[in-house]
Amino acid sequence: MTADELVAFAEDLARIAAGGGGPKALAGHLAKRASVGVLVEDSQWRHLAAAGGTGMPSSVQPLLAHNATAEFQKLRNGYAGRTIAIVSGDSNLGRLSIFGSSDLDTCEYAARLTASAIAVELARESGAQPGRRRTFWEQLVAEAYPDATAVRDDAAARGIVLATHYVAVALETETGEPGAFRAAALDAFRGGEGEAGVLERRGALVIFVPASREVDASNTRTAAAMLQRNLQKKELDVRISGGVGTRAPVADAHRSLAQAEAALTISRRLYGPGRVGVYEELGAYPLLLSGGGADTMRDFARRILAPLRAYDEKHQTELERTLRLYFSVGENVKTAAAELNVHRHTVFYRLRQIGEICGCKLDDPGDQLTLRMAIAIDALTG
Amino acid sequence: MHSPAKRDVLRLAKDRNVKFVRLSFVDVLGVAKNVSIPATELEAALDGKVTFDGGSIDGFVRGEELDMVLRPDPSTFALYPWSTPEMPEARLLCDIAMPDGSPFEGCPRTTLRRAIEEAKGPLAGIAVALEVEFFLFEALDSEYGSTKTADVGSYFDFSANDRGEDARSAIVAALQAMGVAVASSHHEHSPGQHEIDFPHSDPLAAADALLTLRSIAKHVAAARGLEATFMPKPLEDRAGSGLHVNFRVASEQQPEVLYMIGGLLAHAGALTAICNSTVNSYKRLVNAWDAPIYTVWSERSANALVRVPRQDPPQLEMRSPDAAGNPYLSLAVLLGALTDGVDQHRLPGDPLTGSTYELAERERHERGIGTLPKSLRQAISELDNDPVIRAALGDHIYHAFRDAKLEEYERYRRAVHPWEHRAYLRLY
Repeated sequence: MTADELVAFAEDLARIAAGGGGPKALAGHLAKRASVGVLVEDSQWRHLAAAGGTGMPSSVQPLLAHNATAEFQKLRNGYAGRTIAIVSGDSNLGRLSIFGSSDLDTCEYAARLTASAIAVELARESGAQPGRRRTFWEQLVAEAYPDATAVRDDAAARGIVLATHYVAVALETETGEPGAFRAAALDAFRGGEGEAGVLERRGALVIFVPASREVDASNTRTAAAMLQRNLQKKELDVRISGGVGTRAPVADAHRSLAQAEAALTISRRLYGPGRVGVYEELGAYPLLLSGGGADTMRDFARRILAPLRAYDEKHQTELERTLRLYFSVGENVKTAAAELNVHRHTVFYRLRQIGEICGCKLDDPGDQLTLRMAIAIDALTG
Repeated sequence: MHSPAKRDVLRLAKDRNVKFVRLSFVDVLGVAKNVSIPATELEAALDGKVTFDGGSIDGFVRGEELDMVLRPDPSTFALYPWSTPEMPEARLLCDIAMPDGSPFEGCPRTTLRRAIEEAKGPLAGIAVALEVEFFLFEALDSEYGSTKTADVGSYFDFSANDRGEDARSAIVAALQAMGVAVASSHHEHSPGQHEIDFPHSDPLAAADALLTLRSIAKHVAAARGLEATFMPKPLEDRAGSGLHVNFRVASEQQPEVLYMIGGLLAHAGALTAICNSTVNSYKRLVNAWDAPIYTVWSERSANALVRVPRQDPPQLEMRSPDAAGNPYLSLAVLLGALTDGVDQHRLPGDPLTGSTYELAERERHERGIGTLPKSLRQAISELDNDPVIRAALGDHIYHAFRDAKLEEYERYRRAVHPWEHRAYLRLY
């Protein structure tokens, strides 16, 4: 790395730290920029973070996934690498090791910068605030609080200003290194009033976006749709997959997270990397992914058909009947018009209305699947 | 050595035997001013050697800046269509410069130029189309003009007996003769109310076109025994006159349009002070005749503040402005809001379907929908608290505009209006 590259690298580290990135994010950035494997351990040789796999022995790589630090340590002693102490003042907080580059001397400067940044983070955590915050969100996700009051009391004790509602967003990259886009993602999901929560969970970056008003949730969904484009504009070479849950009261934030993770899975499987799925817009797929009993299916059918029914009731129209008939006659507008005793232009008009009211496209296979399933379930359970 | 544009103007003036040239500019309030020069001085004027006393113009007053320089824009040279062959007269729109030649911060046209320069990225090359509404009333011998019309037409009607129809056609013809392109024109909702639509152009040309229309309409109407007015709400029980501003961005910028909408909605309050700059403007912004009252956007709703029909290339229609204000400042602050929206990645929430008038307070709160200012005073307060829009105006114009408008509002507040006589005189 040249001097300019090192300066840019140091600035990147500062940005990642400012965006809430911890040792894993910082190590991930080093691994990516220097093309090395990185291991971060605390002063007791406990695993803190690992990133990258370039140049590591194939026998080591699987161990990263299992945090098999003891075995990793044994292997390291016999492998080309560098270990740098993570020091804060007189305290030894741990060590950062790099592996696998052909020019470890050059990489060492970047590694030392990274170790310094991690030292700041570890020292700050030992000062309790970030760690206390992270613990709160971890406990919330683990449903460790008995009720909403306990949630609020504990948040207040930790100095966290909560919003009334949150929307969970789960994001991951193909490389499994959330650190690379962490700051950009936090910038994209600003939300409304209240403090955002940030976690790394199952290789994904999880953001609880404050959404005290519905507009905050709406903007979160929009920001999700624009995230990949904005990352590209910032010249961040990552392809993200993601999921956005529904807006939920803070005590139910874990439900929003479960939805976000389901949306992430569905989005990744259906569309591949580069897309962020919104749970509410995935129609029948969440139901197909996780299944459910009669109640779950009935709720799904009601939720999908509710806008049409409300419109029909308010305006004395028969849009739901039109939709059922349209599907039942194999989408033949002429036959549907004859059955409904209206002109076929009226059927076209109604189908357009149905699309607008339900927020879907009737010629989209995914949307059709959702509507057809809702109608079928409604017929069976209604 | 003249630029080609200057040479063209001099040649054209000579070919057409132009006798006089009006050097036009606007004050901070958007009122057209001009200095007439004989054609023999045109070359000197084009070289920026014509000065005027800026101390007597609204918003220009600063003791040490009295002698302002007029900088004609050669691209705006046009002959007035009513010129006689014996006395051909032309006009040039001007920027205003300081005596040392540097741009004058109080010049609205320069302010718009700056806003255009600052509109980069997805906003570079943004095009603006204006839909201008106005009334044509009978010219009667009254102190303040009349609101009488023999016209009974309504939206898109062809009213054969209405002199307004002929006058509108004559206005369009005059505009075209001056090189100002017109997309269409039609009768508007109220009797005596008309609309002229300009096609997309760069923002400076759009503001120039509106300024030209305002003077042409008054001239043509007067010649036909009519009065043209761009007053936003001349009749209490009829629709007011708006100025719908359509922004067209490049197709590839489709995703950025959301940020632009977010910018317009986020700064709507402060924008209103500039785009609805008279006390009368706020009588148009009521829940009737599809006037916008909430900071909401929609794809189709006619009374949303920002309407964004699904089309390619994407277009945003800002529906609150009126044509009584300063067109240069209106477009400058709108561009400032668009730029801020893109820079800050402001998101606008979901679009609204249906009428905005039916929105309950709770729904407005949940959807983050604000209310447009209900008075000029309230709008100025919003402007005071909006550094983005203040920056788009620049300090000089902000203070000059604010002072002038606060004084206008105070005069209005002290006036006793006919409505108060009707409501209270006999009651109490």
